[in-house]
Amino acid sequence: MIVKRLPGLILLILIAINGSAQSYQFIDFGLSEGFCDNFAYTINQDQKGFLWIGTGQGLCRFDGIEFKQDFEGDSIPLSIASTSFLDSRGRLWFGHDNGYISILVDDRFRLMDPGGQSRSAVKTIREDRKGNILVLSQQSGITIFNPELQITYSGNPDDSSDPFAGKFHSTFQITADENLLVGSDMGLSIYRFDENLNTYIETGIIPDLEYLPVTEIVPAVLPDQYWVGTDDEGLFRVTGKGYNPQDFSVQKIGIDQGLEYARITSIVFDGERRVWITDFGKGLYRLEVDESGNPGTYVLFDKAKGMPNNSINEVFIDEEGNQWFSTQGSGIAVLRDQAFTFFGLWEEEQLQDISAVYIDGEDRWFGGVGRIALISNDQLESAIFLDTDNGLPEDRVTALYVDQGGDLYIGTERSGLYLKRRGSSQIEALVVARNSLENIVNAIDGNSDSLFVATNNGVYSYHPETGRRVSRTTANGLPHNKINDILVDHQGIAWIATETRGLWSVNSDKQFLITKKLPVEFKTLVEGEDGIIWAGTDGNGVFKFNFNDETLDWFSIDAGLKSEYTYALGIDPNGYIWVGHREGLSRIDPMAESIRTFGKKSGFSSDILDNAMATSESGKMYMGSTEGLIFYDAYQAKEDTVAPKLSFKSVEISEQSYDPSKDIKLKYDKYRLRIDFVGINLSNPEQVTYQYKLEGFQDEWTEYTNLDWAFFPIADGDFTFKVRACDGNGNCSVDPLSLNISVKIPIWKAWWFIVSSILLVLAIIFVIFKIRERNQKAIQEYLQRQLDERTREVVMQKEEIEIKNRDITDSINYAQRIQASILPPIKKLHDAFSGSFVFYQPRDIVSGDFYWYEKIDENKFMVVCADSTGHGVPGAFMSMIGTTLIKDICLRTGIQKPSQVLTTLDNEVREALNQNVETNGSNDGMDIIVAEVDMSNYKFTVSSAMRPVIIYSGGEQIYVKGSRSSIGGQLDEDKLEEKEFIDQEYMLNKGDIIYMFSDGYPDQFGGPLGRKFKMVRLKNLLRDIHDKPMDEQYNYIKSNFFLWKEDLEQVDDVLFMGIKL
Amino acid sequence: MIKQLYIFILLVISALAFSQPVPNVDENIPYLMTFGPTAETSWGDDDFSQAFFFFIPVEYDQPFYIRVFDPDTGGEIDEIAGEFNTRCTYEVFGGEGVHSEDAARETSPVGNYKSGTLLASRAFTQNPRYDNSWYTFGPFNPAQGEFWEAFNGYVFKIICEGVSGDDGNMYRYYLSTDSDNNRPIEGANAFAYEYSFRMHNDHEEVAHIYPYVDEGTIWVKISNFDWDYDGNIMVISVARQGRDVRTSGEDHWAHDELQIQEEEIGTSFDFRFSKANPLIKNNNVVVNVRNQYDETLRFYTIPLGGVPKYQGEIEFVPIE
Repeated sequence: MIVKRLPGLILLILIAINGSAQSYQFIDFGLSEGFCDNFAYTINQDQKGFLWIGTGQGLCRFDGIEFKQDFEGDSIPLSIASTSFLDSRGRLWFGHDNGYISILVDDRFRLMDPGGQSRSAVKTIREDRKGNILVLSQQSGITIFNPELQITYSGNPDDSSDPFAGKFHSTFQITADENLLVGSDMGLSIYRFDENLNTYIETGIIPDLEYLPVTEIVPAVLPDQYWVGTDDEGLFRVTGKGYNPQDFSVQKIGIDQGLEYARITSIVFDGERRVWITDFGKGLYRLEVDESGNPGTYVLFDKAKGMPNNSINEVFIDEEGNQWFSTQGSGIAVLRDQAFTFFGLWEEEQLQDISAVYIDGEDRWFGGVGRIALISNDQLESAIFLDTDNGLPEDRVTALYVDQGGDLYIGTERSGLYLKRRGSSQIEALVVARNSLENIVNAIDGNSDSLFVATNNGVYSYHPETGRRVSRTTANGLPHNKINDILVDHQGIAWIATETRGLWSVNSDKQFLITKKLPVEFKTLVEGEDGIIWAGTDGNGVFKFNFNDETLDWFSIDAGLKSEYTYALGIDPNGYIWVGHREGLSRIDPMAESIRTFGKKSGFSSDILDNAMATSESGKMYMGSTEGLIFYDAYQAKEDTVAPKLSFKSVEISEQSYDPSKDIKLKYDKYRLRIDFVGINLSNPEQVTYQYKLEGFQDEWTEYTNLDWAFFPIADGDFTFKVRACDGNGNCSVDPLSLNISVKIPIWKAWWFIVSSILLVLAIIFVIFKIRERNQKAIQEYLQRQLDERTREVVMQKEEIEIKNRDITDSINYAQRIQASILPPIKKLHDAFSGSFVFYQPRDIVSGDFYWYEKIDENKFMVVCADSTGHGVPGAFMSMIGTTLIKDICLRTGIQKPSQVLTTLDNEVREALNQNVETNGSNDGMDIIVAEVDMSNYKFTVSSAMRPVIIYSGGEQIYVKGSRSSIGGQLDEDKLEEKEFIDQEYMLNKGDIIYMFSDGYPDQFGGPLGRKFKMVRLKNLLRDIHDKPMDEQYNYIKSNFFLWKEDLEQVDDVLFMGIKL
Repeated sequence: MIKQLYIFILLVISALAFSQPVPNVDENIPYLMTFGPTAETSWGDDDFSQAFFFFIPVEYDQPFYIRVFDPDTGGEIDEIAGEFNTRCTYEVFGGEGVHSEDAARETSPVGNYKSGTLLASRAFTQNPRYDNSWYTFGPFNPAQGEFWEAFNGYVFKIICEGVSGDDGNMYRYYLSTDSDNNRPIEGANAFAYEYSFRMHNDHEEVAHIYPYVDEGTIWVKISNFDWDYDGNIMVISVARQGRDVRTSGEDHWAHDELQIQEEEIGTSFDFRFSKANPLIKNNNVVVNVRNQYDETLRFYTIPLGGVPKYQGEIEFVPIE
């Protein structure tokens, strides 16, 4: 066909591409990847999503990231587990070569021995409709476990009559009618169960398979149809039902697919139309199957196609649809995505660069260093190569473009633009400029009449028909001369990728610039079906220029991009944007705005080369890389729709491990909690992200991160750790995985402790109160007793005092009577004068104040007003002395003047009290006024010791001061001489009034301010009342005294005398 | 323990030949021989079954293969009786009991001689695909064998057995690291407790087999079957220059006894089979050796301690 289209290319070299040049995205796990052993036998997956592998070193568990080999439970046999089965109850069974069975139930292993003394290798485990588990051992035959794991049937290989004796069984299948198809080294036998005999009976060997070593039996597409694999005799299709071997037909199949003598160890139907078949030692077949169950097209995966080993023991398809392979000597391998195929296009293995990709209808052009390849109609078996012999320079081809005339334009890394005309095998130089930068061609694109060539010296357009070439550089408006890519969109607008702030058009005035953004170097461009232009950059991720709504989106590492350095862009039929990086790819889902990455762990180890990515009209993508061509068939791609299955890997609390399947209860302390978890996503484990929270400690979810562990310092309280996970496609676990951790509160936080404490405190307070009350009561009682005692004493004393007081009072009262009797009767004074009064108010019963008056001759009347020192009894004594002496002195002859009376009185008082003899004697004395009134002429002579006299004469107040000496008292001799009493004489008239008083009246405290009455007030008082009748004056002076004093105590004896002449 | 160490050292030294063909080159035996069960025993096979054991040192942890040359019964190599109608099975065993089971070390296929776990099996009739070419079992995991503590390695067993027919199946084995080529495993060896083999037709050819004399052996009983009085069988050891043993005639056993000399303990005998009658073709013979306890002695294809040479009298010459 190619030859027909290119009749003139007789010099083209037709080279059959060696099948070995093609490889797939197998990822193998051997010892260097942490796998437990190089020999792997069986693979299965438990309900939590963990992958379990039976290896030569025991069981190995894989969570997508790491392998684990130490497990809890009964001792797991070290013997190889070469078969496994997940029953309908979620129990994972492993059959071991030494005849034991280990069952994973609730994360723990339980060991079963189906064979007893006759145990032999367990070959196959299956479940019947009733939930019974049938175990086939190599020599022991069938053993049946009921759902409660009790053995309900077992054979005895030592008994030659046992239906399973004498053969080496390898596999079996339960037919629709509950009979068994059992494969052995002797062929395929049919067994039925005889209810009466309670045993299986072999009804015979299917004739056409006698002596063929049957290794695998699986139900096929149609009912009652089975595919039977043999060792070295290939594949058979067995159809029939019942238990009569003659009723089964056998047809050898797979001959055309190369399975005629296959050594089959595993057959797995992947859906209804595809089946995986191992050919031990040769590789793995993937067969398409028609609706009748006939095998059709196939692919053989072997070492040449990336399979790590051609001896594959078993194929297993996990819940996410990944194909896993256990190998004999190379660990396990997985084919996660069959959409990718890798080709080494060039003969030299050392230089497999595909640096340019261009699709022209059904032709795919690929450029390398000094060579070009053409593959038409995806016929990989043959390719046409052009090289330097055809005129191509010894330079890297960086861009390819076929114009509408069918001519191929070839851009090179440093040699300029070349042309291969349609129908010719010769390549000629088309544009080789003197400017070497212009010879560096980075990209070519074109429209109906011209093409655009992106170089390091700007862009030039080339018109094929005229040969006209027009250059554009910074000199005529370009933002930069290094043009990394050029894209002619569906409207014919040519956009350039260069170091600028957005998209520039070179054939229009359109621009789409990014505001507020420094210039970035755009590397590669691609247009989506909706006219959106995607631009990859050198270090700034990918930009999405949406002309429809004039929006700009940006995808960076933060959004999930594998790298922000991009080299090529492509769009697959699903609308995904593929971004080429070094050592991998990113796939942007514009709708979900999620990004999935493909790196080394996904099987990519090569660098995608600049602009070397293209998509055919049929939707197949071609990517050029440093290790050849990467072919991507989107229709073969497996979409992940299963959210990661979450499990706890370990829980460590203060360096102690705990079982995460149970709630954890701890006594009170401060703990360091570390929880390791895993979200199992076997398709793309490195892109699983987690968010978690510890309710009771941190109630907010964390941001999604790649961290698969969490650490918390916790103390008392109830905590619930919750974690959820998302895969790279945005499939997130709906229900978070939870773990309850309870740390007992300290005793002092316990409610009962608090209540008890409160009660205790209350009790203590109560007790203290009671004790205090009792003490108080005791004290009170004691005090009461003391009080009573003291009261009794006081009462007694009081009574005694009262008695004494009464006696004293009686005595004083009696003394008062004596004193009163000594005082002259007031009548004498009334008789002598026209008016007079004596206000005599002792402080106590007896008084120190006293008065005396007597008509000493016919015209003279002597009046004495005295105030003895002290009051009460002492004063009374002094008054008695004074009275006695005054009487005596005044009546003596020779005493003519009041001053003489005073002088004499002073002497006699001092003498009477021995004040002139004993210095330590009494210092008592008296203040005294001695006045003499000559009634004939109203001559008033007065001598006073310390006391004033107030006279109202003619309405005028005369204040007469007394001498400064008192009567009596101890004085020094020199002072004594100074003691002098003088007479003051006043000629008064009738009606004049003389007032004499002791200091008790002016010194009395009282009034509103509690002060002394004082002399001033007394003078004012007399001024106010002097003109009143003497009786009224007496009443006024008396009432004024008590009004002034009110409730205050009387401070001294009061004597106030008034005489009206 | 010292004995085990000694054996091990011998084994290692012997295995330096890096060769696991069965029969080995030193044995100069063209083929192993197993007949169909309906064949006459007078044709040379006493029990229609032959078990060979392969020893893999524990240091070797890579996949290995057991290759069979001319596994089918048909074509030029095999011995036809009328027309080829013989079906022979080859069964490879590993796992517990593959060698430690008593029946496995016996000379006759009775009891649980197929002990262990069947790892692979294949029945052949006349099959041009494998006539005069190799069939490969494996790859096998060395750890699938039975661990033999005395030799610090794993033991596998292959039994060739006539299932039907009366033809003679001539074949050879090779223990290989490669599925398509014969590449020996360093330190590996092969042994059997009864040797059933085809003699060269050329009477100039001398065949050898090398039974190993274990410690504690006082005397041995050498048995040969259907030698047809075709020449002599001579025993050579480090202590004997050559001692003829009693040979068998047609379809019967001959037995002979040898007292073991001290020097022979821990060494191998060299049984030399020399034909005398050039007219006798296709001579098949079966040989086994038992000790005083009726225990079988092992024939190593690579003789432990090397091919024995008579040491002669050791003469001490004083140094002057």
